[in-house]
Amino acid sequence: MEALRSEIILGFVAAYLVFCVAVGLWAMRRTHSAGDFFVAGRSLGPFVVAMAIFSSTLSGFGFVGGPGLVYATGVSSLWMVAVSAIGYGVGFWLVAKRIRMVTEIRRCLSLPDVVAARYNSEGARFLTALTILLGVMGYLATQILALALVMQSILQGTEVFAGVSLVSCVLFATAILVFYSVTGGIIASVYTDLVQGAVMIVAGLLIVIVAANVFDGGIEQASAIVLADNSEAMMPFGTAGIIACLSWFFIFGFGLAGQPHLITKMMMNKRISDNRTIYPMSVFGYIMAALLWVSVGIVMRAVVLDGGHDPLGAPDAAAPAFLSAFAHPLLAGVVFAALLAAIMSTSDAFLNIGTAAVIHDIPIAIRGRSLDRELLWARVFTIVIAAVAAGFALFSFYQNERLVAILGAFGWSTFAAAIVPVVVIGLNWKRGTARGAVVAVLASLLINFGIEILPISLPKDINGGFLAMLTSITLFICVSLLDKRPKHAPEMARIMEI
Amino acid sequence: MSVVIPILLVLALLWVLLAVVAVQPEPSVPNSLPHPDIDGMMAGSDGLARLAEIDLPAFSLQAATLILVVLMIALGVSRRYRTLPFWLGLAATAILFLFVWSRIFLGHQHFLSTGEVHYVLGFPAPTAWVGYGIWASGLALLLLYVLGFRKFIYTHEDEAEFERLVQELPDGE
Repeated sequence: MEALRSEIILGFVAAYLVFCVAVGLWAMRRTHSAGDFFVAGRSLGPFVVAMAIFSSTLSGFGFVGGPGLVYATGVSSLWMVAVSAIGYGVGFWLVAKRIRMVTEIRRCLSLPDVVAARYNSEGARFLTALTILLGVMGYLATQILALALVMQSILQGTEVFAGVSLVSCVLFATAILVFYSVTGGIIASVYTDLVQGAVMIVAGLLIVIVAANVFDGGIEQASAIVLADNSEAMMPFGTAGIIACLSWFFIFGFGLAGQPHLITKMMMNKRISDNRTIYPMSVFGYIMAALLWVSVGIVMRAVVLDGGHDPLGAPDAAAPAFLSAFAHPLLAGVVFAALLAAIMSTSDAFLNIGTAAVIHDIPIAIRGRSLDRELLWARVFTIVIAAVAAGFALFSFYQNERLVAILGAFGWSTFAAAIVPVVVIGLNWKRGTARGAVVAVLASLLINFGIEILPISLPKDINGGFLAMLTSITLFICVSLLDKRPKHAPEMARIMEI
Repeated sequence: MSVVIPILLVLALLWVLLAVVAVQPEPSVPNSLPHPDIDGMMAGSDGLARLAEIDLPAFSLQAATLILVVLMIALGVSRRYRTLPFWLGLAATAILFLFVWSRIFLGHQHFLSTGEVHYVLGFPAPTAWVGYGIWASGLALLLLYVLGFRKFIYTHEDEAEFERLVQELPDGE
């Protein structure tokens, strides 16, 4: 079976991609309106929503970048992943109930719709939509590039496709992604998320078992090897240091609830009371899948330090190298399918919210109404956004590495800094004003872009995203308190009392 | 009193602590260095030296962040449901958060001063508190949410009120 490793992996990946196409075709028959396309008609059951929430959260970064970070910097990045249970808590306690109420009462199709309803402000809608669009382009480009690189590495392992180019992989990967996103909209997205999430949980659990058996003494022996080489790498703040870790705790803890591709899913459940089961299922799924992040990184660092494996060419090779060296071909097939699932489940969510920003929110903010024939334009712009992001990905890879890095790094922190005050706090605090929201979003954009573009480095490893988020939250509250008390529409006032 | 006022106070404290961290002298050693033998790996430098100037402000910074989490959670609950049982549950969660954080921080300090290592479920104890402890304290929030869902998140009265609101929509949706 070992001789057929590449073919087995390819078989699993091909089966997974065929499944995605089939779901797209099935979902097309259930997508009759823009409401179906963007919020699945608010008809999803709790299990589907839970899996969609957690699988959208854990992108390719979790399956490739995460183990790579642990390999490179020790346990520092544990702070990004351990805080997820608290991050989901912030999301469910502060967002899940009211966002679903506003969605139903105001028939919202997107997060900027919710913002506009809450603040009665087209300016706040426009800035939220613009932030989403900017963040989506960077995020999506990084995901498409990662998807293509993984596909290329899988195909190059076979004799038939050994010479496949990156451009071909980008085109193929984007085509599959676009197919099911265009035909089935968010319905295809959440139902592929369902299987993608299940695959990720299974892969996470199995990989931990494998990782625990690499050394006779299990994970403890791997930890001891890393600690003996460099104690700080294995101690709680890793090599990145305490302030970097605490910054990540802040950004990933509070910021999780500000990720639009995640909280948009909270608009789609059938009943608000389902949140009582969606929350634990989402946390459980994330923790199971994230086990891979930690265990693979530590074991690969230990194996290399112990001389059991050559040093890796790049930290991001930690997970693929682990699979090649220690995983049974069948398990490697499952995990590679899970890796594609992680990337695609996040990508389709970004495509959906980016399309909503372009065809729904920005036109309403500018001319007072959405595009005519919204469903048709939604499908057209899903293709356009994917094509532009794929172009960004290729341009970045061949011409300018900084471009996608800037946009990608910009994504999470900007979403967090812009959306946490405006949505997470704003939905729960009647005193929050439109002016406060506009200032918070602008501050988020300026600080995050400024730190990425200008040669600014903050002292003591303070993370720019942390600074941006602290600034935007503080500004939102202070500007709102200094502003006139807002007048809410009657139904919004009643929602905010519930 | 609105819970936003304490939130604002904690935000102010975070700004002060961040400023204190920022103005401390640079440590005598860099935070991390490339691993001496293996390309692509980083190695942490002297743990005591890199924490020397910022240990107390950093400890306080995280403690303030955890208090902020708890206050934000309180913001998510309607004022009329912020009852004594709710506050007790939230206070217990806050104590758990701070306990876990103190185990992480003090465990690391203990290691730096003595070099003693105890392993818990595969990791040195302070690191295990990050992995398992932070996850577990997040689960306390989850437990409070699930158990208190019909008491202070979305009561049956809330549900009925929302149903009335839906029925009042112009087209009867």
